[in-house]
Amino acid sequence: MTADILATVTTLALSPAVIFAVLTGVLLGVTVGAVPGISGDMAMALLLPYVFTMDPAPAIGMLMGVYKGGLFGGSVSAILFGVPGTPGAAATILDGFPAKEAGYPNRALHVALYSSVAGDFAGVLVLVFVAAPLAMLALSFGPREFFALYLASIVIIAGLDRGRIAKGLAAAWLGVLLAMVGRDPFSGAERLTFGLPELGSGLGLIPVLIGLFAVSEILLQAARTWRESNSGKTNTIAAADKSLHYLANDHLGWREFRSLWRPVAIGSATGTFIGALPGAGATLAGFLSYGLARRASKHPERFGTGSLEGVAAPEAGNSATACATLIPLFAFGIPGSGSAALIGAAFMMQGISPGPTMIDDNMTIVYAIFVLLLIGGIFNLLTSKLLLPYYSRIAMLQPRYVLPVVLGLAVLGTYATNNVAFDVWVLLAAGLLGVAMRLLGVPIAPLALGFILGPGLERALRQSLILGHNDLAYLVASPAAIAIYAASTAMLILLFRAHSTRP
Amino acid sequence: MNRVIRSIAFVVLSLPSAAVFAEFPNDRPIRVVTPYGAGGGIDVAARILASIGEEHLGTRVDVVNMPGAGGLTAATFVREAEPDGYTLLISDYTPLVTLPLRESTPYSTDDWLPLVQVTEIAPTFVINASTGYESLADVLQAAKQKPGALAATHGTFMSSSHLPLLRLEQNAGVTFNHVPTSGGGETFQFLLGNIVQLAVTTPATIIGPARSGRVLPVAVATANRISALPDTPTLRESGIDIVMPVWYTIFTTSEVPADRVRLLAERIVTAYASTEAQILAKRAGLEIEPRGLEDTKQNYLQTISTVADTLSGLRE
Repeated sequence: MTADILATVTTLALSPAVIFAVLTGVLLGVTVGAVPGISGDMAMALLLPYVFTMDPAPAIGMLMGVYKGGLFGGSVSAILFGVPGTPGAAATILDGFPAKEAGYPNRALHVALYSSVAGDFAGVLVLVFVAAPLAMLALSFGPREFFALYLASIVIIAGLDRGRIAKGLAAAWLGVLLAMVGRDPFSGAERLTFGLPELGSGLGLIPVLIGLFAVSEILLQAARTWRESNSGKTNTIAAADKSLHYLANDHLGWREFRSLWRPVAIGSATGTFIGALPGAGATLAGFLSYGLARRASKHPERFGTGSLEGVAAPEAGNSATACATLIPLFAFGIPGSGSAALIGAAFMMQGISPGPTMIDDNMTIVYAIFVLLLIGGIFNLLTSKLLLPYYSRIAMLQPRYVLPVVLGLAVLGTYATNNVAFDVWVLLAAGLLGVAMRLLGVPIAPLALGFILGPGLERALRQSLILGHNDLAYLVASPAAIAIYAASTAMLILLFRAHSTRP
Repeated sequence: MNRVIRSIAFVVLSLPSAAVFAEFPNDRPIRVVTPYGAGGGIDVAARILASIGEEHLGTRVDVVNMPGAGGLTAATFVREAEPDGYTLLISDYTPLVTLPLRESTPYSTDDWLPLVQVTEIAPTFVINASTGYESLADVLQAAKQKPGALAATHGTFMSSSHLPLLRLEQNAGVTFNHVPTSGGGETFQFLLGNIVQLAVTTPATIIGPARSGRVLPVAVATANRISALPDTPTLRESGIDIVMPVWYTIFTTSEVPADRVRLLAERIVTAYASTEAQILAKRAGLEIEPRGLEDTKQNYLQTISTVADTLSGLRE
């Protein structure tokens, strides 16, 4: 019986059509992910009508390929340009971009790729073996547990930058405030829109992220270059920065990657759990993995300056969510994220109804899909490895030429998301905010995370208050919530102590 | 020589004006605007038309997603477009009925001319199968005894999943503790985790879990039982006279000439009724039953009156 299934699955999953679909998907995903402004999610949504007409196995294969490729592609842009190509790669910028500036983008890219693939495989294994029990655990998460999780994540990330904890917290809450622009999710009332109908739907995630991280960087560099050329003399620091010298041996050795097992493991575990929670996402997984890896690292001070551990952890984290996000879909038919919803839609188009009976009713297809997921991971590894040297060479181009192109792509990508010109203004405004923050020494990452988690945080809080009939004690009357609060308080205390015992 | 050139030029230049005489809708593509993003039910319904539209309508059909402001952006765009029949809107009733009745919008319910109703979705009341309740009557009885104690989820405020819940409360004289969620995923999470006791959602969202017995659909808010959930009684059968189906209908604006309206309606119905469209719809999990001008208009007017009634009941 099992041999039978295995045979059918192999024929299904390893047919040329399917392999070709997965390969195309991965290539498309990595390319699209690398372009700032266009994410894997968008590509998947755009492919849906085409996928309509395909058979189930190639269809799912292509979509998953795009999704996985996109998660890695976002890091290419994050490392080379400091722009998150997909929101999930935002945490990779923290050490990825400094790594490139310090002269070893190739190592950073390879670490990102291998960690991505490792996290991805961890996700597949968990999906196959642990989906049901993990989904049960995720089910026990209600609004107050989610609130605890979001709150803890924001505070931890804000507190990461030891010298600037207060600024980090301020940035985080500013991010949450910006996320509240638009309609109140519960009453529909417009808030903070200043009467502008364009703000009715709030500030877009893509323009804000790209503006904060990329446009601000570009504006600052442009200002530096202009000042340089105006004053006639070469500003030595800027010149040294921009001459982009590369360390002669920018190559990743196997031993070096092996030494990164700890951040990869932390990232994979965090990503798998976070991915299984509906509503949490790759970005949260990335940041949380980063924070936890730093806590567990023997060299926490290197984080932020180009530490490869700081690249490995968020990459493993965000990629582990790729398959983990399918866990609630497979176990309950609940899509845990936008991408899972798209995959769910693709399943339904093929007549497979996601849910507990899915696995029993469609055993061969489901097992074939598991095999596809593995294949997708392998293809991601192979194709990206082949293309990496070319990607790295992009880093060697003069920023003078690259930055305007990146800025152009960012503007186009932002506009392409919703065909709304206002989004481009948001992009520029976020860029100016980013410039101000960089000049004032306020960390940007907490603002980004606050902005991303803001809606979920607010919703969880208000749902909890509704369910608890406005009794604040309801928020802490759950063991899981208490555990999360306790763990994060402990982490904060340790972070504080580490800071104050420093000479 | 000059004369020859001039006469040729005259003929060539006058050719484009012949387009004016081209039969509608042959010279330009028809745009179907959706008020929501790619991938949702409405988007899929529009894309089905787009993929087979050309052979039935005589011109290309393009889908344009314009999400934003709860549907206001798309609706305003179509309202302000030329009333020549080339710009259509496919939508549910929230942007076109609920929104204008609640706030001031650049259009009113009279500005819309419904062409073809594509599908009808039943708002479904669902409970967690392991809570001991076996029917809607049980839930309502418990709610009457403890007003505000039982929690019920719904989607966006005043959406097509919220209004039936409000109407149920008005009709049955009960109060639930309303917990808005971000969508089907969260709704399920809370229902299965027993954080809420009742959920209002769509059949497609719960077919899987219903079949496996984890959730029990207890009522649908349509006139007749639906084929996807044959064992679920309608609210009318349970003694509660509420019919508030969610339709996806293709609209145009009321100034479009009547002959174009008739032509569009006929051809779109044929397109959706074709075998090809039905196959695509089945694959997508949508039950597409196109209705013509008259029926669609009836349903539209019926919805306007039900929603207006529900909203005024709230203001008391």
